[in-house]
Amino acid sequence: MARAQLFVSCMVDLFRPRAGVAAVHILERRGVELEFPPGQTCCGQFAYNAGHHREAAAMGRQLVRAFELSGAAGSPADPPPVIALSGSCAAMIKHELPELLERDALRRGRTHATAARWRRRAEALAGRVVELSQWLDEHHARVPSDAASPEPRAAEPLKVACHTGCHMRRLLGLTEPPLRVLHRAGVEPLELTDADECCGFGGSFGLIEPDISAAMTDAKLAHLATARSEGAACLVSADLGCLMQLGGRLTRRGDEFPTLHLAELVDLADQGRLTATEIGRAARSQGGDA
Amino acid sequence: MPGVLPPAGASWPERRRRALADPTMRAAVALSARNLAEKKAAAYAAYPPGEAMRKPAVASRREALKHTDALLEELTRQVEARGGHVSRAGGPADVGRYVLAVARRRGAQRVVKSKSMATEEVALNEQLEAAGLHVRETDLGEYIIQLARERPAHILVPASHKTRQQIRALFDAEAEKSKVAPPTGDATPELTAFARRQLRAEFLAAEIGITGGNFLVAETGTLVLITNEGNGRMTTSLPPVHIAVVGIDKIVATWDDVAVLLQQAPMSGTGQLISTYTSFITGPRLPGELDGPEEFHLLLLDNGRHELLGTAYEDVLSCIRCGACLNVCPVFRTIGGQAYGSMYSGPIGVVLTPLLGGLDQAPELPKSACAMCYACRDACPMEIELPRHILALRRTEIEESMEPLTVRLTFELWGRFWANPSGFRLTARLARLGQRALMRNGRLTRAPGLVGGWTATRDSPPVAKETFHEWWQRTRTGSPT
Amino acid sequence: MNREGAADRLGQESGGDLVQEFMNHWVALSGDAWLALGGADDVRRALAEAISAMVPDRAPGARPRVVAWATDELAPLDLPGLLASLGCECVSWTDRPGGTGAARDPRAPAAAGSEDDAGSAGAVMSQRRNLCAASDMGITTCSWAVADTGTIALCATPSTGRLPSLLPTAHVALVRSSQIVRSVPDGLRLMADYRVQHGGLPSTVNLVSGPSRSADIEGDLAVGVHGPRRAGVIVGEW
Repeated sequence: MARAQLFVSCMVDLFRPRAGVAAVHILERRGVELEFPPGQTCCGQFAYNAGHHREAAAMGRQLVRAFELSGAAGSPADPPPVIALSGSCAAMIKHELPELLERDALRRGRTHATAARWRRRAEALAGRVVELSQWLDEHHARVPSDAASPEPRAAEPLKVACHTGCHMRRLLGLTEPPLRVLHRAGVEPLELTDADECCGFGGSFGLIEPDISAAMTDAKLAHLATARSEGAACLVSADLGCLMQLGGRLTRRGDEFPTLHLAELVDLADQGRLTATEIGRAARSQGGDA
Repeated sequence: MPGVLPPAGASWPERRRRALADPTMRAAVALSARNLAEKKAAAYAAYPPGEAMRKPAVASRREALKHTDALLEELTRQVEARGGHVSRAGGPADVGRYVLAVARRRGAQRVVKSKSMATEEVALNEQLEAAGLHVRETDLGEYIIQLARERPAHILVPASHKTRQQIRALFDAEAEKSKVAPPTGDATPELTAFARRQLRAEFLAAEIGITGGNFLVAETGTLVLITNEGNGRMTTSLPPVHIAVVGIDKIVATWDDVAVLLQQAPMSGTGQLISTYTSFITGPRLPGELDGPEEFHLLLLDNGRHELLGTAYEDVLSCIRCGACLNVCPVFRTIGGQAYGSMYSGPIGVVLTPLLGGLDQAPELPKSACAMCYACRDACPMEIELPRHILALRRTEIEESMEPLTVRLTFELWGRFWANPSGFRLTARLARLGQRALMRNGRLTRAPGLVGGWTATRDSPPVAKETFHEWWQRTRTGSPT
Repeated sequence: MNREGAADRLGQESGGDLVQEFMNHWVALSGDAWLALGGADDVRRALAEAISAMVPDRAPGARPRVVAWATDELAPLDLPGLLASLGCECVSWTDRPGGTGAARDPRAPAAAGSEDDAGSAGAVMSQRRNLCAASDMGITTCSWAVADTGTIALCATPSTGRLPSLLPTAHVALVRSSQIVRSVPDGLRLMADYRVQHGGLPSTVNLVSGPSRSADIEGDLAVGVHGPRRAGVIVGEW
């Protein structure tokens, strides 16, 4: 059994826990022994990008503590990965957290040695973080066990529109893994026209500029309409922030087109339940799982 | 010394409202931006030496910025050795004063201008017109917006928000005013022919030609001008006086340095391997020459640039004004350049406007004009860390207490609660209690405070009946929530 | 737009790569190009074609007006003779304006020196400018050219003025094939050599890549905005 820790992200935790539940199932089916450190709250990116670095650092320190491995003598030689359900959060942890914690320690009057220690602790976490679709892509040889026997592949695989968020795309360079994961799950992912254009969420920007944000999303949804006319059954993303932005704008415009986290789609595929009906049901469901 | 920029004119809410309510402008801007971004990509793909020159070009810019003062002194010596005049301009008043003094000395009234961002920074046209001079912008796009009495919509293509019908209307009005024949139609050749005729008369009558400058070569005392229309050459060949207003950040150390830098601007800006005309001007005409200006003046503009040297923002001064960041920015594509209230729009404008003019000049730009998508960082040929600078400006605004108190308190409280797991769990429980009243059809449609910004234009899922934490606790640890 | 010489040797010359690429780029930029590698007569032939192609029909009886540089390099071509034979009025850049009746242009700047000198220098310059503005074609050579970008370099000196390549409606540059280098930095290195040899750069070096253009009207390409509407090169040996 391979060990891993799970970082769900605050948005999944609070707003779409079923994506986290789905992730647990798909990872456990692939032979992962998962630990969910309960001390995790938030990576602090929202506050960080809004310029509120003290608050971001406080959350970041808590995250580092939560994932630090309690072990006999220091950290093990081959520490388990931290699988993250958000590319955006993974990027925050990997690229910004170490420098943020060091800088904030100095701001709070700690010694250089203490500040450097915070940096090292954050770097240790950063080195272990891997976004979900990247992990699935790298471990694609692991066939899901305990899954429904796979239906013979339909001649026409189900089409899904796929959106990869900006941070995953540009900061982590992960444009291909989600597409490959979806292919292997038996769907045909359709990237939107102008795929690399931002969905409009933008963190605090989306809150303080709701009109500009919505205008950007509407441009994206126009391309989604094209994908739908080509047969896309739902919109999938590995980033819940983007999904909530696009899905939230859709329903505000009276459109119930299903939106799913990548983990939920893969979970359905594992179980041989990848139909438009099941997708619709999963998108509407409020709860987690038994 | 901090710089001074012209005021934005209208308030941010008004500029935003106007922009979002103008579908014609938005469509034109988005199309133009996309088109230019594609052309850039195609140019670098088709011409590998361009990319090979880019890295050394970045290095030479960074290096030059470290030695700005010494290089400016060498530049001055070289230009003066060729009979040119060099003067330092701290800010707008210095530029206006200098140009007016030249005009007075020469009894000059008629000025033609080739496109220059630096002269827009210092509102030179307004200063000269207030003193009774006739000033004509000669870059076709700048001519159009001068007639329209508007600000540029884009660093490179200032009239990209105007349709040809709108341009024809402007030309018709100008023809009426000048009592000349109007354009014969609104096809591009007809509109261009009108502008050509009008502006040629201006060139031939002009007494002073004013340009900006793309680069300044310290080693040789050379001003480099990159243009496509020929108005740069006209402006620097016909009037007897040439005045160049150039930011001190345009300094490059050597002739070899400018050789690798030269093509980055046209390639990144419009996808051209080189602009139609690139002029290397070293002082006024030499004895025996039968054309060219008899006087050459170089005004080195500071206006807030010098104090960025040696700071974390220094690389911003590497900007070659290509506009590549504008072309890929989703916010720029949505609201267009005029909404920024500055001659510098797009991502570079978000950074340069507050850095040159002070954060009070444009406090909304760092927070409201950026979705932190990083497209600009990937597009910038000079590898300027634009997102990092925007983040730093956001942080500075908070540290300088420029945020409203409600926002401040929201984040402080939030940080306190979420820095530990029990506080996090508590907010979930509180939210679940409070959100019932704000829901419709199973979704959050209204919310208080900052979160109300979300629900203004989008629905949100409610906080789940059972969070992931709670699910794990219940199903995996066997202990009750 | 691509004219070949009678010998039709395009692409078959040794070292023809640079020539070919230079001409291809120039034409792609909406320029006109002729190849004339057969010596002075071939170049004259190409120039006759260029004039016929690039100078728009004038009113019946009106002769095309040409202003040309008159450097030593151009001497073997006898441009004045050729242009006269083609029915053009030709003025050389360095011709003094005829007679002493030349009116003094009030807009000419006061130059240093005696009243007389100032007057005549101002008058000469004003005449030059009016001449070029009224001309249908300017003819120049160039200092060097770039294959990668379709660029010619024009240096401003007493005998090689700026205006013949700027004000007339059309401009033709005579380019020796040996003047074509690979890249822009290669060409700028030649200017660095020039600087050493002459003790300084020319007052202006203009790199020209095709006719004047703009995309300011709805992103639509407009050719011939302020500078020449037609820009041609004749690549030859003479």
